[in-house]
Amino acid sequence: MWGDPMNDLHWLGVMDLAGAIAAKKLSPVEVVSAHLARIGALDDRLRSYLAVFADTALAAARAAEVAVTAGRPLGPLHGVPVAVKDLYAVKGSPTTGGSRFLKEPAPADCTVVARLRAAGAIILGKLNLHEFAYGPEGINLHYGTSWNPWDATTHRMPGGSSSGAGVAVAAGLAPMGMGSDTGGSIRIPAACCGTVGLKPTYGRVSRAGVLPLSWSLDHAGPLTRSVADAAVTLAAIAGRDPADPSSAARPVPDYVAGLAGPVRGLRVGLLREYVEGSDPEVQAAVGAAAKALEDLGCRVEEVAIPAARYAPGASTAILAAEATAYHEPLLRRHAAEYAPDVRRRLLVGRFLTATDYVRGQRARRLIRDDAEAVLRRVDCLLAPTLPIPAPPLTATEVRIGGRTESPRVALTAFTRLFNLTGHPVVALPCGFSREGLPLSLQLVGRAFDEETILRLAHAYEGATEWHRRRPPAA
Amino acid sequence: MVTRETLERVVQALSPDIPVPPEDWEAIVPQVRRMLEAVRTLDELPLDEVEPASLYELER
Repeated sequence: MWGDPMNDLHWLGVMDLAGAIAAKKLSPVEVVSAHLARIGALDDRLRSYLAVFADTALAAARAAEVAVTAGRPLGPLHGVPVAVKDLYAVKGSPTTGGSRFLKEPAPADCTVVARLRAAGAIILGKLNLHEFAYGPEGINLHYGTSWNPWDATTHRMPGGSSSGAGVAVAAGLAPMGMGSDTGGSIRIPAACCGTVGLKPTYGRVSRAGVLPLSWSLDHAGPLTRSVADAAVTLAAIAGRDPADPSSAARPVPDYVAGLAGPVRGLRVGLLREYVEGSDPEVQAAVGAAAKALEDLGCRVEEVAIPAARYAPGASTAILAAEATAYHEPLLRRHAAEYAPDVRRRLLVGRFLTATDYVRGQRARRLIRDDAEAVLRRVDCLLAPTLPIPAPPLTATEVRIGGRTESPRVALTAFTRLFNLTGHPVVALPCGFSREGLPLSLQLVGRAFDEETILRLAHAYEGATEWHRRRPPAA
Repeated sequence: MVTRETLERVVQALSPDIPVPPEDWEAIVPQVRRMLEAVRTLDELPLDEVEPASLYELER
């Protein structure tokens, strides 16, 4: 089934690995060893990890192997190695946030890591990111920027801020990487690196123990190489957490069982404004995806969210104020140690007034009501994740059709809206550019209806081959 | 009007304990202008009867 297991192991996904381990066809020690070997071989160049927990991961793998041999009950992720963005607290390891000055070991696992371990997963290490999650390009001046594995010769943006997760998952250095998304930071690296990225509904997954960027807009979620792997991960980490007052008490459905449900008859709203605002190659890819959904029996119609044009203003007012508020104590002591771009963005936030912030939160309610109204008419929305493929790291502007834009504005143009509204979004590959770079679409669902978008994304994946391609630089 | 001088006075008056490195001002001034322009677009919205969204609303 797996050819040469020791050569193919790193391309097996979460569910395949868990199944093979439970069936005693693979040992957790083999699996973890294979991933550690691949990290050792490639990550000097790819720079997706900031810390690798080789000793503890192997010890956990040996314990996991004993449990399998002894016939003990196994969790859904038993023996599967995973990695987490270095915002997630892992007991005994510093949560650096991608900075140079946060060095204290975390006293305890954050809730997401604890739930991953409870499900049997093994924590391989901490993943690279744009410092303090404050950038969609995925740049890290302290540790080096992760290398997008889809271009072996030009250093392209891996996307941020969960850059390490995008690269590690795309290059087979982890079958799942936990990211965070405040303005697109799971979906942007997923799009740049050709992976699946799931931003659940706000409150679906606990943020406790995850370094915040903006409390109102932060979401925790996984990057994977398949929709099914995102579903099984979400099932393991979702649910009420008293340590996170924003976490929802709603029951957690069986997201994996839900993948097999029908998609015929689903009404899909194609966000016309976002398609028209994209590069022609992206437009063509999303258009082909819409046709594929119709072939699956969905009804695709064009929709618009009029208030979406105010998303940048509302998102800026909220994000800038909250990020600066969180970082003020750190800036007092460590301003010179921040990367200049992050420090400047934080300093800029000090010039917002309290009424600006409140205006942003009032606009957020209006924008969300607008999106909810559209989602009462259709079951989900379809849009490009990015208007362009991943630009070169050194790009100071990008061309989208006939206009130019800064990379930062372009990368967040279609993602920020759904951080404001809190709706669940899954980003997944929908094609490749002429240069061989991944293109991505996003499916947006109603609040707490991850099941529908995961089911539709899974069906789309089954009807296409995009997710099977492997990057040349890995 | 947003100028370096006006922004420096704000920093001195409100939070002198977080000084701005001199080399940052060249980047910060245009960023502040763009930020405030983006936020001012919200004045076009009919917010008269609209209350602020809260962190926990989607939970209901």
